[in-house]
Amino acid sequence: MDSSQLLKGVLDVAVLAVLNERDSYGYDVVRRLREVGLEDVGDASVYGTLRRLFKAGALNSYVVASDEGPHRKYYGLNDVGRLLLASSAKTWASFAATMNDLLKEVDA
Amino acid sequence: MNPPMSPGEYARAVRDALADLPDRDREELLEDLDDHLSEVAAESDVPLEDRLGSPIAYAAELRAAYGGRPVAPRRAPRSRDRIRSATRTAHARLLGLPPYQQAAAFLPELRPAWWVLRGYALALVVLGTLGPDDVVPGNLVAWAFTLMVIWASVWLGRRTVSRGVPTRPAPAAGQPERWGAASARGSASAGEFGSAGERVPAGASGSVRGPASGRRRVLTWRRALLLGINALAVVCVLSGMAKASDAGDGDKVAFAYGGPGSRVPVESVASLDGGGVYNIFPFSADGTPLSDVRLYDQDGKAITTDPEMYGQAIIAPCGGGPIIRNAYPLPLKPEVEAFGDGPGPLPEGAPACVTPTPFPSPSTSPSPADSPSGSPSETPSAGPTLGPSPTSTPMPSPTPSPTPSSTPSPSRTGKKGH
Repeated sequence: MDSSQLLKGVLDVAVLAVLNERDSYGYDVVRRLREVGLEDVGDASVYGTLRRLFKAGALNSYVVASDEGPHRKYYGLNDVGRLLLASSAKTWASFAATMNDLLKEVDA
Repeated sequence: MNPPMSPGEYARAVRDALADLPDRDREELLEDLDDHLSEVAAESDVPLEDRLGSPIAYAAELRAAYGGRPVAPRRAPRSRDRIRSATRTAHARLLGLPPYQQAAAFLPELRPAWWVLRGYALALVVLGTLGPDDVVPGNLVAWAFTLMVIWASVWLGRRTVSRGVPTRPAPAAGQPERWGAASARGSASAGEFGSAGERVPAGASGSVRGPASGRRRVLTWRRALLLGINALAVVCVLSGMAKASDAGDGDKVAFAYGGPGSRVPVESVASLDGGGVYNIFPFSADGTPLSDVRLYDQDGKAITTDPEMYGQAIIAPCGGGPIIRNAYPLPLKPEVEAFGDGPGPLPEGAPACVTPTPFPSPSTSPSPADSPSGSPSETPSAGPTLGPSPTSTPMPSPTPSPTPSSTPSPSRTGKKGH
């Protein structure tokens, strides 16, 4: 199974978790996701996810001027985003437990 | 081979590839694309196309991540989600207040009480459509029915709870659970993680397409039905409370006197000397005493006195009609005591029944200043009138009464004798 297929399903919660640590701008989110091991994550996927989460009211955003290079639009979680993250994490935990249970007899 | 694309060129190519999206959606999505691509480009010297793939592929990935489905069909759920997320935000804010926190913690414990109350209210509604409308079941059958409905309500409540939240830990005092048990129910694991491009608040209500959606629709249906029943029960409880508080004042007193219809007693208006009012003598503006005047209050209820409290009895009308308790002045006589120590014989001249009696003229002639302005809204039902049929009622005394006042007859007999 292609792990990028799995990633599609959990990208929302992954992005939310990263932003929960600290506010970030788009490319920084991509970089941090890759740092924690999600190497396959696509730039466009992250960008699109950020815009969608923002549009849905889960994120706030603010522009920070930088000395060199373009302005950066930072994103951070608001209350809706935090609640969404909490409920997603709960769902993920039960889903992962179910899958682990199902696969525990299988040799990896 | 083409020269490497600049971020601007790349962004323009992506925009072109997404030209089919509605303008507003596209602008929302691509608002920061130029800045973002500049950031990516600044990171390394490798051309954008090599790092990100072709603009076409990038656009496809964006579309998938942003939710490439057409927008129109999702309008309705989106507004519902907005309400839900607003509610959730308000809930999260309010959780900062200790009283709200405590309420959120103990409200779930009060649910069984609500189930009982709900069943009771619904049973009363059904009973109210069949028989008298009351706040307490009237008889044994009604009670049995009520208990049955309560039982059903509790059963339904327990079933909903046990189905809705399969394994939920008891809410700790500081960490109250979310009150939408429904939201926990809604987030089937497949719903949230199964669809990448799903809109965000899918956490609570991801619209899953496929075999599960039929079951979900049934669930939604049931939830709507349950919600309707609960709303109905709330209305019933409130209206029942209102009714109970209404019944507290006027009507109960009136029914206690046993008469048909509603009555209001006259409160003591002459109580300066401690005496009460048990009869009323109406006069017209020119001082003429009026008889058989029916008094009603602003609601059309008969105004009554309580002469029995003062040792007076209302004399029944001759001819056997009902006693009209708000026809003033009341024909009264002192009540005869059933037991020995009272005055035995009736006072002389007390009639056994009422005919148009000579009016007792009060010693001081009263002058009623103002005539009553408000006429009763409800016209008094025409009972058998006391007054206007004097000829039909036989007087207790024999007909050729030798009354001294009737002057002509004695003189005439005298003449015949001579």
